[in-house]
Amino acid sequence: MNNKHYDIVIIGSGAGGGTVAATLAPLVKQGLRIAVLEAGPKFRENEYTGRELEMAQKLYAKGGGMMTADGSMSLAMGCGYGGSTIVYTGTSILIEEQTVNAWGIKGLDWKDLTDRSRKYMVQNNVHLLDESLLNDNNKLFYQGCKTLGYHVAQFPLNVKGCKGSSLCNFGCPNGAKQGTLRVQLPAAESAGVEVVTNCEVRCIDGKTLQASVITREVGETSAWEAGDYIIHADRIVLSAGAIQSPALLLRSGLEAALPSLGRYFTCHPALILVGEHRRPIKNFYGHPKSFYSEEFIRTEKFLLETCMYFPFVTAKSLAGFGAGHQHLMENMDHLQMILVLALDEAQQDNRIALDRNGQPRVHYRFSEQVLDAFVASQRASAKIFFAAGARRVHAPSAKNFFIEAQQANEIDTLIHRRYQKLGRIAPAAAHLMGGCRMGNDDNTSVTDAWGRVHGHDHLYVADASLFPGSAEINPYLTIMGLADRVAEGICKELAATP
Amino acid sequence: MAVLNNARWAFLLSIGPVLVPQMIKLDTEQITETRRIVENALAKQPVKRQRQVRLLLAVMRWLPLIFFLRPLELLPKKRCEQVLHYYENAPLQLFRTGFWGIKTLLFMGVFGQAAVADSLGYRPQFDGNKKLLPISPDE
Repeated sequence: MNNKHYDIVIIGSGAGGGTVAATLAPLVKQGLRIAVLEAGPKFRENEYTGRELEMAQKLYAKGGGMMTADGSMSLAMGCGYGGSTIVYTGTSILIEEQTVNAWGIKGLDWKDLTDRSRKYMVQNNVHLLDESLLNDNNKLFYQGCKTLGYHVAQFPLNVKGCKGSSLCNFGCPNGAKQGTLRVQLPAAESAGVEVVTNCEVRCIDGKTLQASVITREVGETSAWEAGDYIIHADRIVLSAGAIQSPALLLRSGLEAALPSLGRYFTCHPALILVGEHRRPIKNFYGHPKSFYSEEFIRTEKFLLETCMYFPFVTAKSLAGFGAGHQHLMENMDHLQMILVLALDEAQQDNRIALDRNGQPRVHYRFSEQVLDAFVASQRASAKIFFAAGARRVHAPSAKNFFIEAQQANEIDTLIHRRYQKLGRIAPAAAHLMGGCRMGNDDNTSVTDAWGRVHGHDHLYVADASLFPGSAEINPYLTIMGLADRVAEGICKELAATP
Repeated sequence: MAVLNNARWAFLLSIGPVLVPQMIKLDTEQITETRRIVENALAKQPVKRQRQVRLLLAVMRWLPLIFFLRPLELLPKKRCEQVLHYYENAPLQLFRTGFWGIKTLLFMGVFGQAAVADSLGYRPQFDGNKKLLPISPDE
């Protein structure tokens, strides 16, 4: 057994862990030893091939094949140096004031949080793409929304030298996306923070971690040799994401003292919808995600975004099979795509638990509100497709496989709850949040407003699991803002410690 | 040992073209690759889930015997399609979810192959922006 000693250990290197590492990095000069333990590997540049199954296998936990306990929803999370910032599209949106206010966390101020997020917008080169780089798939969404009078806005993106591979979800093959793997982690390492990849932490016992370094066929070799490790740390920051952070605390036996641990999980359940155009459109050239619409976020609780997915993901997102399915798949270059995200409310019973082997198992039930949002969002998307000139539309909750353009005025009848059958397709969890929610009360939350775990002065959480409820928007900037706050809290405590 | 033995794979292969008509166009090598992908995906699942898949395939295969006196793969194509649609819309959510899983395995096996993706006209390139920008007179 190998022993290691650190002042601060950060578990995970995504939007949360990378931010904490970079923020605390100046402390290394003062003599503190800081390490980031990342379960996944650091991929070599030539390993981003863009090939669908190969990349899913490499970059996502369980090869992207993780499902909820009842098999009704898929869960995807990046695993590697940079966490899910390897595989997001880089859409950089500030959380709305109304959302933060609704969370009701004493001491968490919207302005303070978004000011912190803005700092990372600058660091990560967030800007709007030039109009000449927007492809047909995106422009058609804009056009459709404008025709219908819906809100539509361009996504600011955190890219530098984007070449438009459209493969963001498989890691940028051009190294353009400014995730923590490109910005915060290299900065932290330059300042002396150690980043140890392929290091899986099993449990935490007080100030001691049990971990193992494993050998993988992909990525760079870990800084530590393969084997078991006992790591002692004065302070531990959990940034392993909304599934692994609660799972780690559950494995560490903290559930009895923290009744909300693992609970109030939210995930923006998402559906991929397609509209077919008569002519080929440019959809897999250029950045895949340029626009979004907040038209329905307050009324019907869903968000619409442009997207462009890959053959297998597209195939499994269509309800049905046979000739209609074949037709759509063989006309992928005619397809306009919209991602709908239901803005689910945090519910106590939606939770992360452990299976017999100590691995996370996600229990999630679609609420009536989410099911209604699915139907309403399919109707709105169908209208956008037709307003943009689509010849027909496929919606999983429609009466028939196709809705033809001449049926456009019957959308509300053809897409209906009565045709929605759970299990026919599996929605995908777009943004995993909650499970170690912050709050004011030990019974309904896991950490305080500064991410410190109730009753454990040395233990912090700094990732999306902190969210008390859904972010109602793509969350990475908010994760970075919260992680920045957690890191500042640690700095203040260290300064106050004699 | 394979999660799906030869008999189970033969059954899946027999209904495959009804679910994924593109399978008819696959050559022997691509069919072998489909099986490899499906097996690989199943091998990563817990033993319990593997057992559920085998059980579901058995139910899917033999349930038509009660109504049509033949297993699913021996039904005329049209009837087979009707039965599969019934499975997809089955009253029991668990069954629908299972059917989606079987369908998804085949989709993965077929559409996950780079050559198949290319045949669909899906051809992204690392410098995709070049396809968006107007071609300069020098090019």
